[in-house]
Amino acid sequence: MATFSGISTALSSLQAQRVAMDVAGQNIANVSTPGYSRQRVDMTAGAIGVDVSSIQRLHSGILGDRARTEGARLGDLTVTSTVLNQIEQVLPEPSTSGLQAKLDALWTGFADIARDTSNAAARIQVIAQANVLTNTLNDAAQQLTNISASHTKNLTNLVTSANSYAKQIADLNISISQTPQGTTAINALMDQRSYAASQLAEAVGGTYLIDSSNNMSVSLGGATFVGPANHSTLQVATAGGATSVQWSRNDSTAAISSGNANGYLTAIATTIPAWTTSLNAVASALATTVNNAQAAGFDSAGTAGTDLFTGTTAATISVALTDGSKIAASSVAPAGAVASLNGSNADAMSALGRAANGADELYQNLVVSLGFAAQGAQQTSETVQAFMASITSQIDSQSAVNIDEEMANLLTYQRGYEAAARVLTAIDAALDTLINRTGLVGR
Amino acid sequence: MTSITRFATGSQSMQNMDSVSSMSKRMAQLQEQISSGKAIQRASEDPSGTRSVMALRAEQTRMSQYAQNIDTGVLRLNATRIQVDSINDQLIKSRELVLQGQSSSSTAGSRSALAAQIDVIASSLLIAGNMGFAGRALFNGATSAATAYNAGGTYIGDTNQVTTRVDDSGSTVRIELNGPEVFGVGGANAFAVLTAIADSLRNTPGNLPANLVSLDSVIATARGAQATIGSRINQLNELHDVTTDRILGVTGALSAVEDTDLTKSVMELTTQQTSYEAALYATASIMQPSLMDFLR
Repeated sequence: MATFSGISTALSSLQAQRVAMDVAGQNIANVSTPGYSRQRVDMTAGAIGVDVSSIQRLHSGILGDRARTEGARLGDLTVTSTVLNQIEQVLPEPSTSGLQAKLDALWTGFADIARDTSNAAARIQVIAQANVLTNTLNDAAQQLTNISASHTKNLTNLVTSANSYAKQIADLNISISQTPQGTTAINALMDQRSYAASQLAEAVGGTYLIDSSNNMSVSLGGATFVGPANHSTLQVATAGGATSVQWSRNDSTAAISSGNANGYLTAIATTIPAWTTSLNAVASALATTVNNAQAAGFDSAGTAGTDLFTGTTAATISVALTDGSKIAASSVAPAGAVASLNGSNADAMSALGRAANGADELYQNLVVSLGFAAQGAQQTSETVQAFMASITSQIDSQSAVNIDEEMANLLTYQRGYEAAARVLTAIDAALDTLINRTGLVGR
Repeated sequence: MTSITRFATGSQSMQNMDSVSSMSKRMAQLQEQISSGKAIQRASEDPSGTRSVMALRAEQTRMSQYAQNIDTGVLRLNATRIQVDSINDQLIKSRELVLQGQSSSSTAGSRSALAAQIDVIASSLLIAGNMGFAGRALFNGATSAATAYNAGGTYIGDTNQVTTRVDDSGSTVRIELNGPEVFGVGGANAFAVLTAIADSLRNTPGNLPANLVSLDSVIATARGAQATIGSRINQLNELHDVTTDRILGVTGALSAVEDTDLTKSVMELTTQQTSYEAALYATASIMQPSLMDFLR
């Protein structure tokens, strides 16, 4: 054994403990960094002293994969639940100011006319109530359109950020291939890449694969989004009222089946149109039943009743009459020129609120099914959220930083450093004895 | 599922935050229920409860309509009853006058005076027959004409009925009587009979017995009208009680579905508050110490 090898041994330990302390410091510094995986120094006994063989990143690829899949599902469900809540806010029930209360007020108005057909005030009141009702329906339809428009905008922003995450992953693939393995630098890059991947999964879903040369590739329904060193871009296309996400390279529709993007696409293409259709059915039933009843009666002047409502959708329904005397309250034709004050037709109109498949029944069905849909979406998203939380805590238990643990490690490395320094001192003292104090006989 | 043996500092505080914030969310919900007094804030909280609330509110509105219909009906029938009572009285008075004219002691002069009284009664009956209620003639059926009888005592109204709805099934109660039902039909109506009596008193006393028979039939019609009105008012009064009970029932049912059970909510809130404070305290004491606190 060479004379000075002890110094080298002590030095290798000093260096290794320093690296280990640096890594512990890095871990502590990143205790709150999202996506950070803790690192550990792997030391191996060398020919002389200790070697730092690598700095390991404690990360489970399988758990990361599951987190991405569930994150994509959760992203979809969260948007769906939010959209249903927003639609629910458009139709606030049960309430004393919702559409149901306004329908009730209209039927009450007809009953007031039936009680006294010569009461002009009751007739004016019905026209006013009908206007309030149509305004409420118009407003609800407008709000549904606004919600759809806002989600189209959200989708556009989302696709922009998905593109930027895809670019990040492709760029990181290049950087990772150029960085030596087992270093803090490559670990940081891999953390960044897996964080970008989790964000991308939440946004658009997709399949994530890491090949043998440590390149991450992302594909959507089989079409490559991110390759080893390049990425495609997505764009939002609106053609003929239909919104879709397309590949910029060839304008073909991208297969998106999860993530926020799927939530937005479903909302725009299916959910909002479906509830709008239901609301239109309410408006249409209202217009049809009341107009038919009007046609069956005679107004104050004895003329056959004309339509009270025009338009058959929630957005277009409006009140056609401005004169309360045009409400066809009487079911009896005028005798000669003298109009009848019979109120049977107004009475029949006041009972339209209970008609089978009438506006009230359809609206109540709508509110209840909307309530169930919103409740269901909420519960599903909470379930997946809980599942996601359990995956996150498994990942955290493996990859996240525990300060106590790091402190204990730090303490170990510090003590190791101190001991190595003591070894150095001891060898130095021994050599000092050997070099300076020996061979001095007779001096 | 792998068991968690290692606990990260960050996830520990995240989990604490999660449970604390879910508790404060539930507390906010309870507070909203208590302050608004409504158990259901939005349909998704209780979809079937929402349907009940909507249906019960509509029923409540309808029931109050029926109650109002009944009240208006009673008012109108009462106004009719007052007129029919007075018509009846006047017809009985005219019967006495006919009997006086028929008596052996009557003279042409006294009969002429009686005829003048009959004329007065006839014109007062015409006023009663054209009496209005809330801007409409009481006895002219459902027409919009201002009167029921013209100056000659001919009925110019129609026989369409004025009815009011009293329940969901569409049952209606008639709340008017038309002229013929009170004064008799066509040429045999009260006005024609009285005109004939005045004429007989003045010119042909021998016709008086026949006139008396006609008058008795008119009086019978008016009495019949009185009885009809009385029974309809009774019917409406009973319906009023039924409807009021129904309104109370619906209001109770509505309150059971949509109103906050204050005792329950307040107790739940107190419990929630206690566990919230406990969770905060636990979080504070767990999150504070780390190994660093003990390394000196």
